[in-house]
Amino acid sequence: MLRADGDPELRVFDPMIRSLHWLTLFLVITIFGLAFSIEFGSSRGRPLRSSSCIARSA
Amino acid sequence: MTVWVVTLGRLVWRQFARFPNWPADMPQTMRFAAQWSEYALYALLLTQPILGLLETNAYGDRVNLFFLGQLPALMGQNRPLAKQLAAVHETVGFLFLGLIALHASAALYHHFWCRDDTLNAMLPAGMRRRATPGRAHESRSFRRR
Repeated sequence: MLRADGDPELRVFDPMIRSLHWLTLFLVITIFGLAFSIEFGSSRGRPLRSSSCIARSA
Repeated sequence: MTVWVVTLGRLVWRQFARFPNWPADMPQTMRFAAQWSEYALYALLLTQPILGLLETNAYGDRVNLFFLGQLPALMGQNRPLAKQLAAVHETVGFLFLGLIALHASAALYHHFWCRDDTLNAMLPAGMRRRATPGRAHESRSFRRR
């Protein structure tokens, strides 16, 4: 279990976990933002090669 | 693909990191729900990029990692499978969005309704709510009513 043995003295997650959490959120927002913009853009026939590349990379 | 690597790194780091306990007055059912939604989020964070990679390969394309170079293809071109993978990728994507919304709602519920330190525990240092003097270290739940 991921949080079965929490430390009662600890008030916050360690800095690495917090950094990775917010980095994950940033990446997920980027991916969904690009995915929806590609979906919207492709219906208008715009070139979306770079957006697709960034979305897939992220 | 970056989010897949970050998630993998995060799971490895979690094996060695210490983390705060649940709020003491958090019901068992809520702990169970939080625990399993956390598992589901990690599972989707690892599954969704792989589905996307397979879908891209099945369409006969390869993932170009930030214009630096192409990742090797895990499978050959297969159009019928690509369409199925695209449908699964889209469904899992919406499921993922729902779970993220649930996760964020739960964090806000704890912060503004329960007024415990669940969200504070994950916020960057400068954004944390200030503790009420004299109550900062008194309980396991860190409640500040």
